[in-house]
Amino acid sequence: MTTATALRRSPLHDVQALSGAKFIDFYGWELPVQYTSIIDEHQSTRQAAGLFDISHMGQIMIEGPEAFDFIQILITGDLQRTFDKGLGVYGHLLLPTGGIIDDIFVYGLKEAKRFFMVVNGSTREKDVAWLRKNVSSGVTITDLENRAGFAIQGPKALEIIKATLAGIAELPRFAFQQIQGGAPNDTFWGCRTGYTGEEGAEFFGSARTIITLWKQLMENGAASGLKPCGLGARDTLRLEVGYPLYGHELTENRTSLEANMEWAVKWNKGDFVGRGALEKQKREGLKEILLAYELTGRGVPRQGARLYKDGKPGGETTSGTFSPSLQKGIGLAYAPVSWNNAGSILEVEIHGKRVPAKVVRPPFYKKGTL
Amino acid sequence: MSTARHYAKSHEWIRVDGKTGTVGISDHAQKEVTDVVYVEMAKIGKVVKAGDEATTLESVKAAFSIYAPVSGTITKTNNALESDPGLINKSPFDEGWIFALEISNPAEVNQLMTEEQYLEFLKSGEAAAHH
Repeated sequence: MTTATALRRSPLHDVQALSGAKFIDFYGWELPVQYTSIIDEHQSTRQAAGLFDISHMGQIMIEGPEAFDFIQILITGDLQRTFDKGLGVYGHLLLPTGGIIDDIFVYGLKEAKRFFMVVNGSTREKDVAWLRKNVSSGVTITDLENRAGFAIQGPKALEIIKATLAGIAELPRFAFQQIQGGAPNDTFWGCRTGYTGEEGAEFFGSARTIITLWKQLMENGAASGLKPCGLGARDTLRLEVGYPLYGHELTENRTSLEANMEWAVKWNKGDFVGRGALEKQKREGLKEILLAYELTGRGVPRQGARLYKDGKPGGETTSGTFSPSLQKGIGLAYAPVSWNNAGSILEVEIHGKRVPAKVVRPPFYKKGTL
Repeated sequence: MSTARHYAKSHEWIRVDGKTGTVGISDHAQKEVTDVVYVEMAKIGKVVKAGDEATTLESVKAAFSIYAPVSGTITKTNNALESDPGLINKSPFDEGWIFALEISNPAEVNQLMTEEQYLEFLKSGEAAAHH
């Protein structure tokens, strides 16, 4: 992959280019990294609202009389919640070793026996292969093509949505609806989810519908300060609230427990792939865990930055950045479990120098609207 | 304010006044680097050769080396950048200057690009290799 022509383009590419987006290669997708400035876009989302292209994310439809049982056995979350409460269900797809294949959201329509799964763009092909490998009769898996999606996030997101669409803004967090609208005779999914720690929603649908909705929201939101945002701000926003990113915090070499996400493992739901490995790990105790740290000295930690405690090495940063809200360096790192005490003093190696840091309890940024 | 600037392929500019050269990064570079959040103050008295790393800066995106466009001895740093590193983005040619040096070999200035040549260089595609 050496030229831009080899990169996949989002259906929202042209509308974003018109808004001044600067594009980069993100796992084979040409996506906007920023429009004006990462910090400006970050602050717009914290103070008003931001619009984020998420068309690279995989959208998979799973249907059939056996679809519920099929999904329930493959995820750590409890799919029953999508029927009982009408909520999207977050979970991990695990290997039998407990290693994380991906983190996903799944939304289910009981009557129709249809489930809509949203997966990471970087793992989409692997996820589809994993689903197909485990598929049983009575289940159909469709990796949806020519789809698009965006997120609208921020304290003003809900009022901007209300001015454009009925229903979604009134739903509780994590709830979803399949909605008639967008392009003529089309439907799309509206989900009260996001990746910034702010109120908002994510919309998924056909390219033409999502382009229509994007333009309507941009128009209706301009007066409230809605700005299109790139991947740069998406990363600083998610990291400030301690959300993990697949390929960084979440990998096939780490389990849901090591990722400090036992809340995403619903032990009461019954069996699921990887359960035995997680139970064993819980019984024997973890060696390492994902912890959060803030620099107390100057600098910006990056992925790979090593951690020290009392002069001894023992951890490695999986994501790090400069927090625009806190005006300091922040990071997530795998380190010995015994290091994970809020207030513990660490050192982080940045450009060969050890910079003081302290362990904190995420989220780093605590003033989000969620 | 701005007299003629000369440019290095690594995207620093230098403005020469007698034996003193003032150095910053180009408008193109500040856009590539994105929001600057820390600037390491260069060491006063440090002797650098053309192309040596003089100091570093950090943006939200990554860390970047700032190279000396010509040889000399560093005489001054822009301390305003310590409290407001974003000056590099807001005013790359004036308030966002990074350091000054006493030039040891004035002939090296003529080996740098003029502004016109630099703008051509940016269009050439070769520029991307020098970030």
